[in-house]
Amino acid sequence: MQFAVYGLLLGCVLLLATVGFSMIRRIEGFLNIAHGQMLAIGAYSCYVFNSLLGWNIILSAILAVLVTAVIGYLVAQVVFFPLKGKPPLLIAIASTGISYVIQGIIEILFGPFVKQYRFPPMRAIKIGNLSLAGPDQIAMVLAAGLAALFLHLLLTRTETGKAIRAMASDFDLARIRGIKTPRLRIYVWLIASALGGLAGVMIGLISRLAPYMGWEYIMLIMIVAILGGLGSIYGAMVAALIIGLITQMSVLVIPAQYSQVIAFVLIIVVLLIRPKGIFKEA
Amino acid sequence: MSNFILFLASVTALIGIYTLLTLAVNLHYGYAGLLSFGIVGFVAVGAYTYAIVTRAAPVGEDVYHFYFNQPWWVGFLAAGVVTTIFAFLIGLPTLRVEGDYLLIVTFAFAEVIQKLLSNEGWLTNGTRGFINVHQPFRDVIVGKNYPLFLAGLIVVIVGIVYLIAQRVGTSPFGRTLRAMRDNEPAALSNGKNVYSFKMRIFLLGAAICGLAGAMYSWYMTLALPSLFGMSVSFAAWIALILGGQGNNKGAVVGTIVLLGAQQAFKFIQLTPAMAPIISSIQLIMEGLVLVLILRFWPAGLVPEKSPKPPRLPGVKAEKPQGAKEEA
Repeated sequence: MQFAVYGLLLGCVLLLATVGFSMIRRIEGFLNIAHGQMLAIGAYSCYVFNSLLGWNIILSAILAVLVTAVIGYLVAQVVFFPLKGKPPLLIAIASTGISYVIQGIIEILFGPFVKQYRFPPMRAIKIGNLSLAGPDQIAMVLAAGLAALFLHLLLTRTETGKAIRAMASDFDLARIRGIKTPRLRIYVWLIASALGGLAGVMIGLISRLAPYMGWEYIMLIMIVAILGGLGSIYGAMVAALIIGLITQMSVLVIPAQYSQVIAFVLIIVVLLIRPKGIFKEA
Repeated sequence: MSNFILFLASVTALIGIYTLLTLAVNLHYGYAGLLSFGIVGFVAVGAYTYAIVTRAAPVGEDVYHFYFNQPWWVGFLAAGVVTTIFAFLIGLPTLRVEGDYLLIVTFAFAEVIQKLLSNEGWLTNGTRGFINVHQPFRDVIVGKNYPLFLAGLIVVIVGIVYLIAQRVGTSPFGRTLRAMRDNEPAALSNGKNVYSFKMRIFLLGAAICGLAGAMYSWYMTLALPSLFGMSVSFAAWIALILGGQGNNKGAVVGTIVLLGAQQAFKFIQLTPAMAPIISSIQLIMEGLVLVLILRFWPAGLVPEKSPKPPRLPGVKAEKPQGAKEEA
């Protein structure tokens, strides 16, 4: 049962992180390796507000998300927007360069050691003898669900969201039809980075912070993205929960070190059977 | 003075090994447009294959079960062969789909291999790894001459691989690869089996990485999981982007510049307290170099030239038509 809860939590983290990754893949057409570092930025800026300044964890989390959104946008403005039109694989390499820079800066600011939030562990809610989940964990799942719902409503119900979807399916056509693509690209980067930052804060709550955490999670993010079909946002949501649950539940059967190996084998199988991912592009 | 020569020999050997990796990345990306991020996975497979094949029976706290006690050349060849088999299994599902998938799967492969190396003690001796890996001709050449010999041997092997890579680049095979990289539908409509070409160049590059892995274990006399982190892959990538993609000269130049700079960085470490900061600054510098070169100088130090058209007997030399490829 505990594993299922952790699986759900990991699934939520991956959901938030991968949705942003997939949005950028759809709009900009390249794999943003630096997206993993957005998680690290979110986690560490929450650490600054929470542990160093001693603010409330919820306030810190909200501020951290805002900070990450702005940093993500600035990185895009400085690095990725001028590279538009280059081969996507080349931009992906540039994004690894950015990942290095961000990781290095985090290491200089916070040192190479593992950090934790100032946040007391909460008692799990019990039903009979079965301990379920702590209120913090339930809050995290709710937050992830709300963020996903917000994104869904934004994309389907609002003018901006419809424009973003139009831009995703055909960038040039959208521009010709008078959609303001430069402004929408900024929105996309802000939203994607904010979601990544929220995922980072959640990682900080369920485990620990380390300068290399961006690299640890970008691999899982990319695996989820393949499983859901590269660039598909709803596919990514379902795939995130599947990967989260599978990697955590597999601990019951095989040693914990192998959870990533399981995810990797799953991806190879998926690529052999359904190379476009298990869901059609939304 | 002799210490300085030993240091030079050691740097030369290291640069030689990384040159092989950069050449392999150049074959993958520079020629064929395949983005293989996890070449360090192949390096690790090569190094461990070599170590296991040439290994003697376990002693002390060693936990591995397999050892073959073979001479070095058997291990060296085995490293190439086993790596090729792994690369084939990776290429099978990924080379048919878009390039993004290859990036992700090779990246994941490298991570997974590192996990397996640390955890499968029966095969790899776990995190203890293999120490005192068998070096070629160790018993013939003794003492301080050995590092010099090893550097020489590595330079010779790099030279051979360079010639092979150069030959591949200028051959019809290489031209097809470039055509495929620049315009895949065009190559396909000319009757080229794109998948087969991709697979062959992928296997060749991976085999070179495997051999480089074996040589890395000669150089370090160690095979440890922690040696095969992602930074090895990125070093090769940065070197290639720096030197210029699509030509082997660029790969060599880029590796020498990058590794030379890295070695020079080692002299700056003033106090132990400064060491982590220096290593972080090195990370930032490498990332910045990569981004700045891609942004402002995408051709690299040595830009790619389209090869001369082949001289056929009885055919007058024509002016090359694809003149815009020169740009």
